[in-house]
Formats: sequence, C-alpha cells, structure tokens
Amino acid sequence: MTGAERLRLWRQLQEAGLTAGEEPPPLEIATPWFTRMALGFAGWLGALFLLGFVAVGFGFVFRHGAIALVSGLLICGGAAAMLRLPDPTDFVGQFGLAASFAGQFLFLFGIYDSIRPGDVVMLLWVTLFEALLVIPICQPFHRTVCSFTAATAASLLLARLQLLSVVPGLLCLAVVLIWFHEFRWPHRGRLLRPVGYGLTLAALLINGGLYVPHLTGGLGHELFWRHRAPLWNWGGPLLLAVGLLVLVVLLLRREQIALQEPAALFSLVGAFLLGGLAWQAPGLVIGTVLLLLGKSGGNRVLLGLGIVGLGGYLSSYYYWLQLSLLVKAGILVGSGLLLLAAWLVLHRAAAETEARHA
Amino acid sequence: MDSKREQIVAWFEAGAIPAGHLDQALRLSGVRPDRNAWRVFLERLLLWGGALLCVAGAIYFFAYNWRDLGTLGRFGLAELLLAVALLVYLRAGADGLVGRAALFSAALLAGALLALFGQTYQTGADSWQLFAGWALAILPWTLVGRLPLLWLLQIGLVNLVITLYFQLWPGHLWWWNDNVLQLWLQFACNLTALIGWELASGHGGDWLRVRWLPRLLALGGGICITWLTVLRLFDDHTGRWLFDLAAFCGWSLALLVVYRRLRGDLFILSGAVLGGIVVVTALLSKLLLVRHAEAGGLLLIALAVIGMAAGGGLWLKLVAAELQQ
Repeated sequence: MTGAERLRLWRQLQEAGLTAGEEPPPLEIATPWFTRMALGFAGWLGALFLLGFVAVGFGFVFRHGAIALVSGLLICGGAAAMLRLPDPTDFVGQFGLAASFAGQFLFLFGIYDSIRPGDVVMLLWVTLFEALLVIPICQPFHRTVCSFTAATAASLLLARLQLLSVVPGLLCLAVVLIWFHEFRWPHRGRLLRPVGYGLTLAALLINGGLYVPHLTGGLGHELFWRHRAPLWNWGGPLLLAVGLLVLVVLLLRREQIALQEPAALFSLVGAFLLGGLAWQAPGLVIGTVLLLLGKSGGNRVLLGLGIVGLGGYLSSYYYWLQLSLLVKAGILVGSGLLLLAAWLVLHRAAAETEARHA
Repeated sequence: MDSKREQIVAWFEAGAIPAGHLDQALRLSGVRPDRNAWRVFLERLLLWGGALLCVAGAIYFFAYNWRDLGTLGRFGLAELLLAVALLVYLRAGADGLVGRAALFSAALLAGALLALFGQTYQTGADSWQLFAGWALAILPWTLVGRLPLLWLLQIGLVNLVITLYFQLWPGHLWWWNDNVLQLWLQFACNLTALIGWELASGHGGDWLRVRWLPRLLALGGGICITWLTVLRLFDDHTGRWLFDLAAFCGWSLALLVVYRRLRGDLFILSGAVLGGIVVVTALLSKLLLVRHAEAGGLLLIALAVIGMAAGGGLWLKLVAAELQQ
C-alpha cells in the first residue's frame, strides 16, 4: 500500500466516523510475513552453527544432560529478555531468535539425556515446553514455530494414546475460534495471529495437506489413520465436521442472516454434506475451513494456505492405502458433482435476483 | 503494509479505530466481504472445487485400471470427459469463470488420457516422455487460454520432465555432473519464463498482471541457482565452482535492480536476501570448516549469519518504507 492509498483509506474511514482522531497514527513499517519467514530461516541456520559451536567448544555440555538442560533454559531465558528489550536492534532481535532455537534444542536434549523418558513423556515435555515459550518470546516467527511444534508434538502424543483421530477436530475447532475471534482482544493480536498460523500449519500437516514426498511422507495422513482407535471411529471425524458447522453458523450470525433464510439453509445443508467428508477425506474439510476463514477475515495468507492444503491433500490422498482408488475416485467425483450442483443452484438464484432487480 | 487489512489492523491495535467500529471499518474498506462478495466467492469456490474434484476423481479412477470396463470403455470415458470439458470451454468462452475452469480441467484430463494410453498399451515410454507429451499437448491451450494457472501447470510440467529425465539418464556433460546440469536447466527454464512474463505483463491484458506467478517463478529459479551453487561449493575441487558463484551473484544483482527499481517486489527481494545468506554461509563453511571444524570458526559463522540476517532485515525494512512512500 502506498502512502497516498493509505491516506485515502484513512479519509474514507474518517468520513464514516469510524476513526478516533484527525490524522492517521505515524506510519509503522511492518515486516510482511514472507520477510519474517526468510529471516526466521536465517535464524535457524544461525542456531545450527551456535549449537555446533557449543558442541565443539564446550563438549561437556552434550556429555552431561543436566548441564545441557540448565544451559538450554538459561539461553532461552536470555533470548526472551533480549527480545523484550524496549527497542532491540535488528542484530539483537536476530541473535535472540537464533539463541532461542539453539536453547530449545539444548533443553530438550538435556531432558532426553538426563531422565531418558519414554515416547509419551518426551512428547509431553516437548508440548509443554514449546507451548510455554509462545508467551515470553515475543517474536512472530518464533511464536508460529513454537505453536506448530507444540501442536504437532501434542498430536503425536495423542497418537501414542490411541486418540489421534480427535486431533484434526480439536485443531480445526481451535483454528476456527482463533481466526474468527482474532480481533476480540485488541492487545492480544500479536500473540493470537502467530499462534493461529502455527495451529493452521499443524492442522494441515496432520491432515496430509502438507504432503511433501520424501520429506514428510504423508506423515500426518498415515498417523491419522494408523492410530485410529475403534472408540473414536465416529467421534474424531464428527468433531471435525462440527468444526465446519460451527464456522458456518458463526459466519451466518456475523452476516446477520437468520437461520430460516434460504441462504442460511443452503449454507447449512452444504456444510452438513461437506462435513460428511470428515470420515473419508478429512483434508478437504480443513482446506474448506481455511478458505472460509481467509475470505471472512480478508486474510490472503490463510486463503493461500487453504489452496495449498487442498492441493497437497489431493496428492497425498492418492497414496493413502486404506481405501481403494476406485472408492476414493467415487468419493471425489461424488463430492465434485455435489459442489457443481450447489454452484448451479447458487448461480441460478443470483441470476433470478438480478433479473428481479433489473 | 501490503494490504488494507494489515493497515486497518495496525490502526486498530494502535487505538486509532475503536473496537466497536472495527467490523464496519473492515466492511467499508472491502476487507470483510459483504453478501455480494460472499456470493461471488462461493460461486468460484463451488465451481473450481467441483471441477477439480471431478477431474481428480477421474484420474484416480483411470489409475485404478478397472479391467471390467474394457479398453474401449476406459478410453471412451476419458475422451468423453475431455470432449465435454472442451465443449464447455468453447461454449462459455475464455474470459468467464466457467470457461477457465473447463479449460484447466481439460488440460488435466489430457494428462490422464496420455497416462491411460501408456497404462493400456505398455508402450515402454519412460515417465519423462509421458509428461513431456502432456506438456506439448496442452501448449496450444496454454498459449490461447489467458490463464495464469495453466501457465503454472505448463512450467511445472517442464520442471518435472527435466527432473524425471535426469533420474533416468544420469550422466555428465562437459564439467557438469547430472545433478548440477539438471538444476541449471531448471534454473534456465524458470528464468526464461520469469523474463517472458515480466516483459509481457507490461504490454498484455489484466490476466498478465498477477504477481503470484512471477513470484513463484523467481522462487523456483532462486532455489535452483542457490542449491546448485551450494552443491558445487562443496563438490568441486577444481575451482569451477567460481563460475556458479558468479552466476549466482549475477542473478542476485539482477533481482535487486529489477525488483527494487523497476517492479518494487518485496517478496522477491526477501528471497534474494535469504539466498545470499545461504550462499555466503556455505562459502564461509568451505573456507573455515571443511578441513578442520573449530569452535572459533563455528561461532564466527553463527555471528556472520545473524549479522547478515539483521542487516538484510534492516535493508528490507528500508525498501518497504520506500515502497510505501
């Protein structure tokens, strides 16, 4: 947005009586998400070399788990303090990011080395530690990475407890609630949005929407179905379908569309039918949820993630062996025809409305 | 700020838009859709979603290789679907939503038809030949379709053909090994497409003004040249890696000039900064660590990476401020 466009937008809002002052606040140069991501990757790279420095220069840290644990905690604490300085320089900010990543690895290595926990306890540690770091370390990329790691570790933990099938539904509900209410707490936006992106990425991974051959190997998709316990055959997907329905109801309420109106009935029936896919093709539900959330908040990143998630899911679904290709083809063609029929109904209704107004 | 949404959110968080007025502000600025915008969005979602799910289902179906249907039945079905998609395109025209979805579906179905041919007659063709045939078959549609998504498919197929070819026929050409040659060819392909797109976007219609496609092409080209430069830094001991490094520097310089001065694209500049950090880090590692990894060298590189990222971030902020003015 250029300065002129910005001023024009301010005047437009001011004329409508929606602003609290005469002039717009001084321009704050925000860093776009892609720049944050690029610099965040550089932070990871820096963390790798910092870890290498500790391993070569202070080898005893890696030989004694307790020392690694304490050093990791101290480094993370230092990083949090650095990033909370009133006006940190760019170097300090970047150093804090790299130090925190290195500190996290040291701490988790220390836990593993000192108490030798089983899978479940280790995953619990990762979940709790990463979730706790989201609050003190106030750097958007860091918060997204920690939320993503915590949510993924929690999903793997639930998988070990034979409860993974409820994870997509829980993540879907969390994503819906965070993004739908992102403006409810004005001073919490800088915490909620990065967390929202982290949970969104975890939801895509767990549902096979972030399928990268040779890298993830459809990790989420495989886990989701391998660890599905009989008790949750219905409960897990039901939770996911409920996530979609909740979103549609919230959107209808926000748009002040009464539930008896044809538009509301159309939306609810559509959500109900689409929710049925949660049992056999859950990634399509998550992708649709992200597209709706992205559109409702004007958030192009979420829209992009929804499109990537749907495309990725259609690729990973092919390799999912629990259903034959024939059954999967039937599910996809059936869903596609349903969407095309819904498009036809909507298109005709819109044309009739336009004709009446003409 | 790259969008109205982010600007309004920043004003809201600074207290310049009271909480009770935020919803109205988002609606007035068009960030939050009104009923009409929702209808347009849902129409697009339903039509594109429906078409793509049907095509994906058809591809899965042909991959299942249902023998009960018979050869004639399978080919008849594939050709019927392709014909229907093309008829819909011809009837609806190239500029409408329906026509575009139909043409893209037809392009995907053409690939399914070729795969079915290879599956049924066991022609012995390699997989790269299948994808090359597919890319050639849809080229005329790409040229007339005025659809960026179809161009993405076309360029993606060419990249895939190069990858599959070198997987099957690894070999050397002059001083390039197969991995490096593959990356060079993919870089050349993405670079050519990027230059073509940027040149055409100044003279063509609205459909050429989308920014996501040149950004993806720059990303693809950047990944190839960065990766091959890093590979050669560590693989080559004859000094030829200097050629790749010079090419990387040329690429980065060109990006900085074009996307700072002419196009003003922060996305591509951010990618260029990250690529530069990766290559300089690799170069430092080659110089300081390859023979003997010492703590001092590792710390120096860590600090260099952090310094470069901080400097790059600061520079990108300055560019962002320039662009916003």
